[in-house]
Amino acid sequence: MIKNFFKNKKAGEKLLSIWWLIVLALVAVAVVAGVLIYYGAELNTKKIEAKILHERIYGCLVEQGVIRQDFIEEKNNFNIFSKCGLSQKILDSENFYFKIVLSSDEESFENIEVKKGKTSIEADCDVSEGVVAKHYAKCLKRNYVVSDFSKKNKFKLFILTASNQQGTKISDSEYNYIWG
Amino acid sequence: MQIKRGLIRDKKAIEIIYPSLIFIILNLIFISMLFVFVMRSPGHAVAYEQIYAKKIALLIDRAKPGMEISLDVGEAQEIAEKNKINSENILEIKNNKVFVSLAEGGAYSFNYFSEYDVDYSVEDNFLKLKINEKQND
Repeated sequence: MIKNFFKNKKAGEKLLSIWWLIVLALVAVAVVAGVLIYYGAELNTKKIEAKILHERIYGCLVEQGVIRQDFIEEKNNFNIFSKCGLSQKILDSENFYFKIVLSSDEESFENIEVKKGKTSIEADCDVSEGVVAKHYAKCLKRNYVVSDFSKKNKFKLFILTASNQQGTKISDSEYNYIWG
Repeated sequence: MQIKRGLIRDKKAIEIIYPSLIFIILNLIFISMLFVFVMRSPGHAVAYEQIYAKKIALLIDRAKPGMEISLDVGEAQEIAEKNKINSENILEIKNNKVFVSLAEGGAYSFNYFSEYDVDYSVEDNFLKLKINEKQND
């Protein structure tokens, strides 16, 4: 039977065909490449982070359309990190940026501008808008109209938040060190 | 052709069936090998480390003090078990960082920007997060 099998021209054509081997090799390479690309891809959460940060800042400064009085009074001395439960160590770093501008049509009012994080990210925001820019920060900027507690004075509030955070893979030894 | 002898004894039938059978078996072996590669790829665990680390960090940032959050981590536990990682060591939340380790070769780390104290525990298949205001040391 085995003798017959090896002498069988049809079997030889199927099993030993160089073309069939090439097809199998191509399929294998495609699957391996697909798996490596899929699992190696970075899960991009920059846009969501920028949105969450935006909501946190707005939620902290404004309540029902009224801006916090201490933000107006303390101006640039207002400690946004401690008062809004944000980590200065993380946000005042390379991966994040936010800018808050409170302005008014009244000439006597001096604009309040708060900028924290990596300032060069602001320029990247315009570049990354509407294009696929993998290593650029994702941003969210919005304008609001708010009032003070008397509701007589109206202000323009501009908030821009951006995130360029990418996670990191740490080694076994580093992880063991963290575990103590 | 002698029908009485049956298909197995039929020389011509053997000549047709066996090569095709071997051809199919070899193809099945090849497909199985690819399937095993996809399922056991080390990248599989790395991808899930990243997914869980980011998911937990974003959940913390989205939360408000006083909230309690439950997250199903059953899939992560399964992957860790397959990779012989103790299920108690798969997660660590420390210094504004979430660490997730589902295989040998380290962990994936992702920062959260909220200044919260986060208490956490894994009960059954669920990660329980309790978000508290930061206590000044």
